[in-house]
Amino acid sequence: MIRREGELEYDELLMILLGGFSIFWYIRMFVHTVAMVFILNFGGGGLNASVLLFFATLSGFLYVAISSLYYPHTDRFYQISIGIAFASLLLTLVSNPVLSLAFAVLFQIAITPLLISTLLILQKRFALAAAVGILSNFAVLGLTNFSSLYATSSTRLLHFFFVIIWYVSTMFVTGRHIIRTYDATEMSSTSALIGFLGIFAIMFGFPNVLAAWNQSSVFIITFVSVVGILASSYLIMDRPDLIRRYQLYILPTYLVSLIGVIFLKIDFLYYAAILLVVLSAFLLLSQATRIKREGSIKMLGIRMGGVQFLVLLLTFFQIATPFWTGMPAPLQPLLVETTRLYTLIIGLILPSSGMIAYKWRDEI
Amino acid sequence: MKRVLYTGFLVMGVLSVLLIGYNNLPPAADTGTSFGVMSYNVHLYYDAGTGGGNNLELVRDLIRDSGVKVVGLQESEGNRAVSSNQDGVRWLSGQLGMYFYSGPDSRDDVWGVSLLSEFPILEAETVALPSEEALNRVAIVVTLDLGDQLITVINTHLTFQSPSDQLGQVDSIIAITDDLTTPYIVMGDFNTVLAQSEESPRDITEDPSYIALTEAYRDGYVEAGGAADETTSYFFESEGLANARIDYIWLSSEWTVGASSAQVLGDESISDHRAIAIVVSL
Repeated sequence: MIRREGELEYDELLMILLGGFSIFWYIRMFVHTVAMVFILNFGGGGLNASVLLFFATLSGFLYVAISSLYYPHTDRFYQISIGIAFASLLLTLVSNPVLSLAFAVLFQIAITPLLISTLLILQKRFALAAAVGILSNFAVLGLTNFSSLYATSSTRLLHFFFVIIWYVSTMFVTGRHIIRTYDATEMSSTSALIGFLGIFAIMFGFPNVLAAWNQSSVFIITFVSVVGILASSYLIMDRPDLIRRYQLYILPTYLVSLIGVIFLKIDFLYYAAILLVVLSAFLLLSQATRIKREGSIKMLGIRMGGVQFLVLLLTFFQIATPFWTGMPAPLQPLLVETTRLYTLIIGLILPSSGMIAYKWRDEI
Repeated sequence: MKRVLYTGFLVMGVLSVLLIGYNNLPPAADTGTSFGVMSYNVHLYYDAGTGGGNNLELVRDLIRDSGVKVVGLQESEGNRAVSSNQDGVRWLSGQLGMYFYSGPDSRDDVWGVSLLSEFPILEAETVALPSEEALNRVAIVVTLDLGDQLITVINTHLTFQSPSDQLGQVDSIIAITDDLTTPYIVMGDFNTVLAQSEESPRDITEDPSYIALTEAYRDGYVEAGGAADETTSYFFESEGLANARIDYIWLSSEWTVGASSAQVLGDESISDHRAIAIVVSL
């Protein structure tokens, strides 16, 4: 695909949509995984083997890196992965919670090659795909009035139809042979994506979570989040000059506003902070994913595994804090009133992954 | 192509805001001084045990079929990944056409207490209860407008881990109601089974929290014909304790209780608690 600065090709638009809908499902399946692991292990039955599936979440990034060394990611490979992802998404609807959990994890692994390929093709414009994913999530939350897609018969039907639409459109796009294979060592920029998925799955991708965090208006939060997404998309697509000029301010803006969201209790400032976090998060993702770096597979493995482990560990701590009295005794001191702290650290993974990629860049 | 993408972004953004705005329009206000009241621990929107089933639809049906107009929910904070990031109270409010209030901020690490009401909510606040040894606990204090009468409803979920904390929490609630000038209802999951763990088996009437509560309030569920030893929680069986009534609807002196109006509803296929409901009038 040949891209000229400022233009958007048809195939690129398709890739943005494909990546966006995949991100939507990835976030949904990540949250479903966390919920199922929690209820199966901490909902009354005690720890059991299903907890191991939690450690497989996000592991697709590592498997893809390793497997690409041995199996070239041809069109056939993508078709098989998408087929597995499609079946897994549908099978998460089964009533058995262990199976539903297993299929949610399988989906995340199976869709990862496609996500990575989309990221490496779109580079800085991958943030636009992320925007499609988050906006899709907002629209679905609006349709279901903030219930889970597994909550009622009608939301489960909605889930079923969305999966069919996703599969048909994904096969259409991949049928145009625009998905490309890649060298695993190019994948360094994908670690920022893991950071992005982490903080948006537990907080910024769900306006109701932000509303409950501070007892604020979900309507205003959705509005300012949408404004932040639209503004960042405009800057990425049409005003890269502005991004370059104010590049140094993006990270401080993200950090200060993230701290504001987590600790502020004044509504007006809270809304302003959300807008700035969302705006700067997409710009940070765009900055991180435009960087191409060739490196050793060993370093890549360490980095991908490290980021995956960090996100999982912190997510576990973040979700466990309200239930600290039911956690193993050695962990309890780490969990007393630390929700804010772990949420902040999860939020820091996105910019830190980007900074590492920037520091070790080969070209910008 | 850019125009297509911009248009798509705008459509999705506007659609999201409109849908969420539409879902959050205020419901129609009800009036009247005779109505059903329910207290229900909804177990973070999961059925009991490790079934993993989402109970939102069943909770909605149970409330709708009972015909009550005021519902106190405990363990209702669903806006966390462990509960699939779903706002169950908001969803129930939309489905049942009720006003709602939830507390506290989810960042305060509380499992959540909420109120659904067909009567408009005039004021609401979340009050932190003393909690020295265990999880944070709160009570929500909500003023409802019944038309020509204001009432206060307090909903809470007390500790099950520290008897001294629990008694302190009971004292705090009694202190709140001492200052009220309106008729009030105090309900929730009081976890009064704690006395059993000190000297098992021990009768509920010897429980310090239960004694303090019965001295301060009327036990609406028993006055409405409910059994004092009705099992309302399935949780404690797994803890080696006898399951017991730990959910209560306490009343101030102004209320008249509907004779034989007590109901105990639901089972483990919905939550690890059963709902209790009574009819009250002024």
